[in-house]
Amino acid sequence: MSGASTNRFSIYPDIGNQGRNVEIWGTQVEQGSYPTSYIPTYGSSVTRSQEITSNTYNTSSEGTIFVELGEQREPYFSVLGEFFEAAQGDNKIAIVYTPTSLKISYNGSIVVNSTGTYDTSSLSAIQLGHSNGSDILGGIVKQFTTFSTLLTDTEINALTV
Amino acid sequence: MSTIFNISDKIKLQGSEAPSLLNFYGGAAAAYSLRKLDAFYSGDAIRVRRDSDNTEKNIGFVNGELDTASLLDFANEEVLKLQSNYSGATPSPGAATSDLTVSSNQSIAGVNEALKCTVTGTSAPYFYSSGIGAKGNNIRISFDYYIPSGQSLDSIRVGAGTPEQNFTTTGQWATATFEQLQSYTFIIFRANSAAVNDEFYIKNLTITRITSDALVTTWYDQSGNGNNATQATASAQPKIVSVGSTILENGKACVQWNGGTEYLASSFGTAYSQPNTIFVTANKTNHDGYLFDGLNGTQRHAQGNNDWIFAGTTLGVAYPYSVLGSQVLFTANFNSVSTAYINSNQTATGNAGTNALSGFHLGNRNVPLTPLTGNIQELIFYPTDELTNRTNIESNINDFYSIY
Repeated sequence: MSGASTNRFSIYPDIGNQGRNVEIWGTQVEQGSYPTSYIPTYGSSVTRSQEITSNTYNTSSEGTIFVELGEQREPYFSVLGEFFEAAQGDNKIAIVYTPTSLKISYNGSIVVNSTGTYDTSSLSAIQLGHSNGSDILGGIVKQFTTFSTLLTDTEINALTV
Repeated sequence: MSTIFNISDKIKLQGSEAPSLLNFYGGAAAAYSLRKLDAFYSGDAIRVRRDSDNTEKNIGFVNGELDTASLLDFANEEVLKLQSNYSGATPSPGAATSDLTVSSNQSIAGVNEALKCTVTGTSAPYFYSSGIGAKGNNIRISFDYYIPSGQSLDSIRVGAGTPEQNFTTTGQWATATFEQLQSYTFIIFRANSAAVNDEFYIKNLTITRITSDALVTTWYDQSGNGNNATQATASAQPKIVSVGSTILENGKACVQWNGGTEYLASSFGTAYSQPNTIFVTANKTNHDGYLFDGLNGTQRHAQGNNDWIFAGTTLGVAYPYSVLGSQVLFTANFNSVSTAYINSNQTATGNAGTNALSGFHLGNRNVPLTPLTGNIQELIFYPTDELTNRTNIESNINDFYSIY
């Protein structure tokens, strides 16, 4: 429904079935361009917590992670103790990690290429857009992909360009 | 800070502010600063008390530096100090008089409940009222007054500081409002050119504080160890806002010690044995006070009331007299052979003792009777030997503070 000039909408029974009841439940009205999930209210207005996404998934101790972001607003990114500058809006990042090395491609270029000691063991739970329910992302995760192989510089730059 | 993804709390991609010193050189046991030292630190910089009404507030960061706008908004919030009530048999506030009498609950020119002042002598007719708060900050004074026409008294002079202000409307009620630096502990109303039995009337006297000093009650530890440096005693709190303005050192906010009884204390809950390294951005204006010390007589790491550092043994010329009155970056590495540096140049090396360190008195001695005269902008304590990283850490600090 768009362009509504009043704060109501109406549902009428089929004229060919007069005398029947019309039963409606679970109605939800939202302001916005797309619907979100059902918000149970139980008779009074409620404020719904932001949705968070988690999954249990075994990720290899070395590999590649690719993520594409929209509506990004932070000035820097950090991963495994390395920082790199971020742009507002859309961003593509590919991270090639091993227990002893880290390489990051950002929007088509390698911005981090370091060695060190990184704990990449027992990677079993993925959370998107939050860290244990905190530090919730204000933007959009458009894509998130893990690879169990170490992609080459050419490949990760091609992914993030 | 926001998290794009988190894999088992080990690989996290996060959005953050610009990285700062502790993101590059972590491991500090205590870190006090008026800049943000860690992009992931989400706490405040300081907690302050404004002296206008003793209200306290936490002040955080904006763009990596102390949020001085919020600090000043808080410090300079208008606070009512006095509101008159002349409706009763005795005036409130009370009035001490010279060459005049005061009478409460009087009516004149259609206005009731005014304070009537009648001149009884011509030497120095005035009254004054106390209870307007401590002097030293700016106040706003407003009141209504009425001076009958046709008498010798043609104006009144009013003030809680100098210069006092003249108000000259006669024959009708008028409202006066002005601001001034309060240098008296009272407000005085004087009758000008008065003859005996001349009179004037006052009503709706209101005095508000429009600036304040702000004192530091807590300097929050940004290291993540919760080793906040605190001071609950008002008279011993160092200052960060003076007469409504942030105190600056080389263009950036600083915490100022005035050589009174000030200090901030932090307790680590553990004693860190040497090697230890301390980086301090400060300005000592003289050597009468301590820049820092430990909490007790056996666990001391001190830069004291002279040019030395001390951890059980005095090592001299660490903080030379030649740099007094200048902003410096002072580095002290307490180790089997201790070293000290001013602005990255070594000033002393040798035996400074073997004490451990269990906490700080910032700006004072372990027995806090030797306070600093000067200021501190940042103190970072590493319970490790940071000589390898020293020049890089010093460069990071100097890049921000432009010390040398």
